Amino acid sequence: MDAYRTEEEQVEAIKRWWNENGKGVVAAVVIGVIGSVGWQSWQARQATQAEAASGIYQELISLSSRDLNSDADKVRLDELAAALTEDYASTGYSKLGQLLQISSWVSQGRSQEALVALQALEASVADDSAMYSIVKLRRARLQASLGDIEQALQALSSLENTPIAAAAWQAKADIYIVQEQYALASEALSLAVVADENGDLRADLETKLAFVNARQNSNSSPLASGE
Amino acid sequence: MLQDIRNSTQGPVFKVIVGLIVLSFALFGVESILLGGSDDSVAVVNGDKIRSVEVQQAANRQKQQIAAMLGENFDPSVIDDAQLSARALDGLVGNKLQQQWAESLGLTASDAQLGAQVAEIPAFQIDGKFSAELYKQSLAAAGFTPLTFREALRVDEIVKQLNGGLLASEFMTSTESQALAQVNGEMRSVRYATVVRDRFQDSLEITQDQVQAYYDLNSSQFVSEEAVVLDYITLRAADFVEPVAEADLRAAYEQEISSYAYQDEARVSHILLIQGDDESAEFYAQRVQLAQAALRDGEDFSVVAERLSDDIGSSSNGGDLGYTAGDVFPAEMEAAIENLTANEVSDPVVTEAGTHLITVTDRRSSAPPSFAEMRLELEATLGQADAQRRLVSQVESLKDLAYTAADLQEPAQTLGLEVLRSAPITRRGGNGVLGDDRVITAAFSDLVIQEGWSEVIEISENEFVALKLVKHEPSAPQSLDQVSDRIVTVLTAQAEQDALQVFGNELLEELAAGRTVEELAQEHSLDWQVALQARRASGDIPREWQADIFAEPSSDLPRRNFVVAGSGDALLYEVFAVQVGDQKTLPENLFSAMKGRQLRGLQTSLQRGASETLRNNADIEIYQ
Repeated sequence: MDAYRTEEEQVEAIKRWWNENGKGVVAAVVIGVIGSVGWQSWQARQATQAEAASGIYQELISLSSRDLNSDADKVRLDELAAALTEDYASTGYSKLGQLLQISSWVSQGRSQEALVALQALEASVADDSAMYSIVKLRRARLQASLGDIEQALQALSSLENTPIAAAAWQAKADIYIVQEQYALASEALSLAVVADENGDLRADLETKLAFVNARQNSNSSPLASGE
Repeated sequence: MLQDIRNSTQGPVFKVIVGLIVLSFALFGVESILLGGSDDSVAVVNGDKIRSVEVQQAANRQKQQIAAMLGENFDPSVIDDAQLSARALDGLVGNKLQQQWAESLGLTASDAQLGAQVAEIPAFQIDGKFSAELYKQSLAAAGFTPLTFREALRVDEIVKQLNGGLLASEFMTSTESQALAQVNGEMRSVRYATVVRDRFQDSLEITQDQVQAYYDLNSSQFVSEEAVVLDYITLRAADFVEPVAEADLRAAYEQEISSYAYQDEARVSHILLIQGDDESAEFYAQRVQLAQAALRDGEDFSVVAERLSDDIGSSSNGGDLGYTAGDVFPAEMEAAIENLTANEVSDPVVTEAGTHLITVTDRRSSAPPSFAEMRLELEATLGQADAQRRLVSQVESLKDLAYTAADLQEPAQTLGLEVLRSAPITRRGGNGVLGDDRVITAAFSDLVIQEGWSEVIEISENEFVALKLVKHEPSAPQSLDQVSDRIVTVLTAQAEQDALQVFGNELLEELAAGRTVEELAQEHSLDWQVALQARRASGDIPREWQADIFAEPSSDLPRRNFVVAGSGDALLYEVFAVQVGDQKTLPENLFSAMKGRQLRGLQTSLQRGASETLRNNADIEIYQ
């Protein structure tokens, strides 16, 4: 740019520039202001939304922590969960609400519905690996209880190298125990014991291990007589 | 020069620079420049900082917990601060990850909800009501401000929401219930007979040759423990308590009652008249007189205050201002208040606020306790403080004396103390002060063992000990005579076990030959029982052999065995029936307890797993 010699020239230059670019500047400012106001009100809306969802969710949690005896409670639970999924689908409350609903369905014996919901949820939480692995584990266990053993075992195998491996091995072992495949159950339980570093599952695992081992190698007890 | 600046401010470089400055303020605001502050973070978790103060606070909290747990045995020197800090940091990283997870899911807690929570915390309540004063005090004591505390609560709340949904929604499938019922509901039927440990005690004889052989083989085991005999002096604050001088007690008493808590207070009401901006002095003076006249005519002060007072804060309460101990109101008012008797109305008092008519509605003086009442308490506090001072000076003298003297007798006499002699003490410690870890460590230190004396050891601020070595008994091989009793005990136990096992094998052979458990039990006078369809953990089968009995293979029944338990007693048993468990035959409450346990285990395990997953996927930097 050149330096201007007199004030008049400068004023002239500014006027010229304004004539050329004035509209653009005004438009930019207007867009900027609208954008900023819009952004703020959108954020405020998000916050209010989240607070509303939080309130519904609290009621859902306290409802599902009780034994649901009356039909009214069950209906109310479904209503709350549906409100979260439909009206607040973008918040995490919708996912947690679905988990609670699924759990309630399983305990009411509505496993088929629960499985469908779990499968949908599994797809939607794929980028949250902590939640994904837990949802996948539940899906596999539910699948097994509905008879789809192959799919279940496949999903459980994919969890064998994750931090929830102990729970996955335990789920496999339970499947094998019910199928009376004691050698496989024994192997799964041994691996579960190894993966269960903090002993959260130990008491049950050890009892199950004793149970399957007593059925697996029935001729190995050296002192046993009576054959 | 100004011209130079003017010229250069029009150059393109300058405009670019100004543009950049404008842009940076516009985008980041002025705070980022003013509030950047010092950075004392010790770790960064996915971009969020963890500050060293936080680690320090967390470590201190843990230390306090340990101290509270150990009580008097707490020895701060045992705690490894570095390790504690590392653990505290690890915990904070875990918490931060949970927080980020909850926030990424958009979980929130509204201000109203948090406020309600705060109001319900009992620590902030007086007589069941929330007290803002107490709230602020408690927070300050714990190193929080209301803002940071609220933030901590918010984080707590959203993490709780997350775990509440994620873990509370765990379930057990029908397959898992069935497996659990099959395993934990398994029933076994058993006949068994107990053989007590000392059955063969009297028939056993341990020969001198056996003892000798055992001694020869294990001689390295038979050494005496290192021990010391000590002379020691104990200085306790309690021994230095002396009567407190009457004058000192008086002085302390005076000081105590002059403190704030015992001051006289007056409850004050006033009528305030404020001169309006356009009010003439004459008219204003008239208003004051009017109020005075109303009071003189016997109208109630509170009624007049309500009607005429310009102090909108107090007029609706009849002019009541609450209590003062002489330092609440302006000096002019306090001077007037001091001279008023109850319900007397003052002359007009002028302060910056305006003209006041004042009355005292109540005087109270929390009468201080009498000297006699406080005497015991004061004696104890003063005596204790004095005693501790004397103790410290005595400890100093003892340090000098013990260092120069040949034994403890001399310093003890000088200080009027008694020297005690211990029994032989091993590293496991003795009684009283000799059981204290610090004393034992000192007693076996090079200084005591080789030089024969110790520094003065501080056990607590009220107790000190000095040691002198009398005799050191190093660990030495023990002769056969010294240990033969012990060897006989060991060998007897072994022989008993062997005899039991031989007996057990005979019994098993007889069973195999067709005899029954009942017959054998009667023949050898053993206690015997039959347990039918006993479950795991049921009381029908002695606990010690439960695992063995349920580990017997379930095929080719009956299964017979003879097992010596940890206690030394043995069981001959015959498992003759095994049934896999079934949901239908399991008692309802037992089964739901089993399911509850497996569910809780699963929840804990998954929570741990989720934390680990977060950690594995996080970007964690730790500076150290």
